[in-house]
Amino acid sequence: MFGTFYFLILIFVHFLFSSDFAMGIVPGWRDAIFPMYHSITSLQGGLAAVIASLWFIRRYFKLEKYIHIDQFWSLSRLLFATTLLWIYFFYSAFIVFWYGRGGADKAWIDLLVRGSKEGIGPMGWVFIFAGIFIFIAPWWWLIWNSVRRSINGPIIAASLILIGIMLDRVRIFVTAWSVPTEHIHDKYLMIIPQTSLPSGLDIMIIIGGICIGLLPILVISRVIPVVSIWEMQQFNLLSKPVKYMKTHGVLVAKPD
Amino acid sequence: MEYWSLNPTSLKVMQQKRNLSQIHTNKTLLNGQLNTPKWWAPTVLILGIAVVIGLSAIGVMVNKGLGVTGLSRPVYWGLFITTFVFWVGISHAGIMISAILRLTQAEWRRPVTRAAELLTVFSLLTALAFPLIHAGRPWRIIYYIIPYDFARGIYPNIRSPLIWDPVAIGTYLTGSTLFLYIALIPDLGNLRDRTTGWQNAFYTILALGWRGNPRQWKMQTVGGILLSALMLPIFVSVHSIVSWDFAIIPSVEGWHSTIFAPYFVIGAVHSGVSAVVTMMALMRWLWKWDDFIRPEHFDALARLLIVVATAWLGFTFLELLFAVYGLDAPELALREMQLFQWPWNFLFIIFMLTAYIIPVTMWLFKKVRTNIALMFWTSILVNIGMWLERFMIIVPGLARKQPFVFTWEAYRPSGLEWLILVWSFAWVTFLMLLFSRFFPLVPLFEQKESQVFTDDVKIGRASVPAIIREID
Repeated sequence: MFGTFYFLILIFVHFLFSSDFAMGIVPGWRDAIFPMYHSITSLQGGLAAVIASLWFIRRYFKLEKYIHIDQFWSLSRLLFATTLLWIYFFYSAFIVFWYGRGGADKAWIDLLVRGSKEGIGPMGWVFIFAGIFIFIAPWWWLIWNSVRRSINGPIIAASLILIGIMLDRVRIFVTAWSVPTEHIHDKYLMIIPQTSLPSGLDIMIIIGGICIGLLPILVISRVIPVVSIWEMQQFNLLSKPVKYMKTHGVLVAKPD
Repeated sequence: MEYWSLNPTSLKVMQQKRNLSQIHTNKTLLNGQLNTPKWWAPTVLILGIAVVIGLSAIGVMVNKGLGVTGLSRPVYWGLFITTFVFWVGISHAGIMISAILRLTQAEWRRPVTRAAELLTVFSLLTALAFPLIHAGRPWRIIYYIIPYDFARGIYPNIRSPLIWDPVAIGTYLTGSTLFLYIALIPDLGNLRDRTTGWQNAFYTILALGWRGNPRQWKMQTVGGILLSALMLPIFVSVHSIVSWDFAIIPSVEGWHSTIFAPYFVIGAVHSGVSAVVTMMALMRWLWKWDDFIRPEHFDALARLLIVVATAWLGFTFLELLFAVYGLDAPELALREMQLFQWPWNFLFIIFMLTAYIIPVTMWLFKKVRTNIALMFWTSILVNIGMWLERFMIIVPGLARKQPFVFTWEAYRPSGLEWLILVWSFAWVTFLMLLFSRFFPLVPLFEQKESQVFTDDVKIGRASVPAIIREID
């Protein structure tokens, strides 16, 4: 019950926080798919972060006996699915703007995809790299069973996705945020704003933000076990290896 | 834990091993093919008459022209296109139930898969008929998909989703038929070995030399998994493309929304899975398959439906919210019409009550989820609601008064249109019953496989139902 509630809360939180932006009437944000797009990318990013932390925990906490290929295999399948969902949700929005050809539609593409009215602007390159890191590279990498069924394969895809999601967020939020104040309430965005490039301070704050997320995890791991011991014991009780014809399997009990 | 202290015989869970002998499975599940039930012939005859009446109505319309329908300017898409979207939606049942549950190794899928795949194939066939009917001159629809008039250089617009529609639906239909056939082969071998005369010859050809050796089983399993994975993107693309028929048009309020593609897909899953519930209840009632289609299966489907329906409601809410939040005057006028003006307000209330509020509230209770009659009626309600949803999306945007439009709200579906709508239901049911005469609706090999793959794990004095899983 708590798991179901927890999952609904996760979706609800992403829905609410992205609605904060989407209801801002800022060009590029007022988009019906925006909350769902954020829920999907957050699930994708969350899975990538779990794979990355699992890889570090396994390696540096010497937990090879407890965290094995099964976890990476299953997680990378989910990561592959969410990677496909990213392109689906992005394309669902893109095609509507591309075919719409209205003033607002064109401005959306110029602002958030091309990054400029003429040719590819700086944010256009951010979009291209975000697309490569979130979708193209991990999709090509995770499509192989041997990669998904390994310890080191999923971590590469997870790292790429985490970088890509960061770039994608920059593309969505920085571009729209840089719309000049005098045009912020225009019905259609006609002026594509100058790109705001990050300063040294911005980069330091980003690095600090990542570190402040990692620090409590490492501190807490000093006092509580990072792998749930009772769940491991329950798994030992509920499963037993079996031989089926010429192959081996595991008999997993599933209490309702 | 509580479940360990239960008496194993009182457990009512999906993974619980039920010892059903192979003889019993063969005898019960092949009763449609080897001993035709008495109700079968009269039912098929009545449905056949309904199909002929419907086909005659289509013939009248083709002969007289679209004037016999309520379609005109500005409402050029009405009951036919609504029903087309509805049947494409129902077709999502097969892949949702069969492919996704197969890939995720959900054990409870086993008795449901064939019916769901079959529903996919027949509803796609029916869906494909509706654009042809809607065209008024069906033979002219060929111009949509085949280049014509080379001399003048006029070609169909391949950039239009109206061209992608037949391609996507055709691919989906081909894939679904293959999927259905591959899963049917072991049962065809079974039927071949139990029949004589022309029936034996018929099943021998279709069984493709199936002997059930390990190599054949491996190929059949790999084929099923590969097709499941290949069909998933097609399944998503089909309803997305149908949604883009509307969403890429900026001039009709209520259509030009980025959320339409996933919104249509999740709605299709909602109506498709509900249709599978309807079908399962009918199968259990008609063929007396109480041992195979059990209350636990309805329970699992209802739980899945609660999740799907709630996700669908979220998309509905987002679509409405972002439409009104922009405060564009024409969009607000449309939403006011949809929600507050007669008869749309009445239809909207019926739509919300039937598509979500009544069924999902009822499914929250286990007593309802395991009551087959209640599941049957609630699943019917969902599909009434989902049909209305498509109608509410398609028609009001066109019917609303717009600048320089001097006729509006002109659409009243004619009796002929309603007759053709009813025909589509009779047609799908007719095809299903015809299929059931020659092929088993519950896969026998899946039932037998579940007997092999399920077991119990002893924990202390309790035994917990368990399933064999592949390991690395």
